[in-house]
Amino acid sequence: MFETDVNVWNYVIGAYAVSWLTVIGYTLRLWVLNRRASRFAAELGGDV
Amino acid sequence: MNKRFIGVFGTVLVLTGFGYLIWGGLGGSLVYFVTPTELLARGEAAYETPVRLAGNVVPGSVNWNARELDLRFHLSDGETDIEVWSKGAPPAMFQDTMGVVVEGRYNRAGIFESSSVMVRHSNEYKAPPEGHRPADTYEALIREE
Amino acid sequence: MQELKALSEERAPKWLIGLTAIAFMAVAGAQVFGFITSPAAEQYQHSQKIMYVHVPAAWNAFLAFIVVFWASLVYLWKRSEGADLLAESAAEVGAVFTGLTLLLGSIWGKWAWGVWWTWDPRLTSTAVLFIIFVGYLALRSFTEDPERRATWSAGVGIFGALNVPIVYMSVRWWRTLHQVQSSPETMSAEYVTALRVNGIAFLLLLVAVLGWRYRAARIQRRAEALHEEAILEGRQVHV
Repeated sequence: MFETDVNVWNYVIGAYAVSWLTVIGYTLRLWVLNRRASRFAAELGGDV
Repeated sequence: MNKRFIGVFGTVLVLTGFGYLIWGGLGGSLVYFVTPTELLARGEAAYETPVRLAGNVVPGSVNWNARELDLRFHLSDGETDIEVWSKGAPPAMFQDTMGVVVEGRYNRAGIFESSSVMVRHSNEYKAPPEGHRPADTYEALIREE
Repeated sequence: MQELKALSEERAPKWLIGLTAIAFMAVAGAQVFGFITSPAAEQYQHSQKIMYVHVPAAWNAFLAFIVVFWASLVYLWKRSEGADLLAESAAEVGAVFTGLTLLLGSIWGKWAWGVWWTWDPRLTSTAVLFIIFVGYLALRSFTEDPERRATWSAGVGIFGALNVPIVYMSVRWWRTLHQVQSSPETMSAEYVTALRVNGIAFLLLLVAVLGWRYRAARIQRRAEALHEEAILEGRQVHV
């Protein structure tokens, strides 16, 4: 009924982009956390 | 000690805010919207008070002036009918019989002056019948880009 | 310190690495599947596809908070360190998925409803759930004594998880802008299938991230414990 300039694909692509950014961003955080924990153990063990 | 204080303070703050929202805000004293029948039943109090009103767009009542971005339609709960005036283009799914929630106030002339029209759609998601489908969804994507 | 050295060199379990790879491929594959098999919906057009990320994200958040609830109860009952770390991990993962659910819902809302946000009971209760678990994580980072931290956060975790049924039922208990849950009766078959496929893929992702988060927490805690043990035994330690 209403002709709008808004392209529905902008929203769809935006939603999937937000999803992947969140998932990849959180995966990076987990990678950092795991590496940091191992380093922490190494430091306490006098390995560094 | 200081960290602990912040921790306790933060927790209390979160719990208080939460309690307020659940029991104070959501529990019934504050209703998200009213129906046209409920609004009119308020009598004098219905007028010139900010409120959310919900109902369905009365078929054939929509009057859209694209040049002036002026939208007029009737909203009904099946029993009571209220005319709504609004400025600006409504959401893409706005159409006859669609559920809508409008924010605004009911004026003395018996018109609901709305500042925001929101579509309140159902939980039904239907594919168009065979034969009415676009060739392929991903083709449509490439075409529209 | 032999144990600390071994701990620092511990490799991630093979199943976790494998599951993570599978989960990523499953999510990508499920999304491609959804895009190929789902025709543009009546009225919603292609925006219906947002459902395949929004709904699984919400399911994951709910599941993560159920894990928090269960692990917190186990902690209070058995005082087991593992339960505390699992609760912490699930709380963080749940908060991430709740945040994602809110963002995706907002995008959906702008297109279908016409607004990015409105204070209806479903949106408000979801925001409250998110804030409680952000508060939970803040509480943990501010409390240094491990036992006190575990006990307090178990309380907040249980309390926070009790909101999951409130959020879920909010669309039935109160008037909302958000629609009630869909079911196979209210959706075309291709959408039901695609949503299920995407839900399963997201579930794999949930288990994978929970596994990694728990692993990091366990190594960190174990290192602290071993270090403390060494000090108590009067052995020479370097820091």
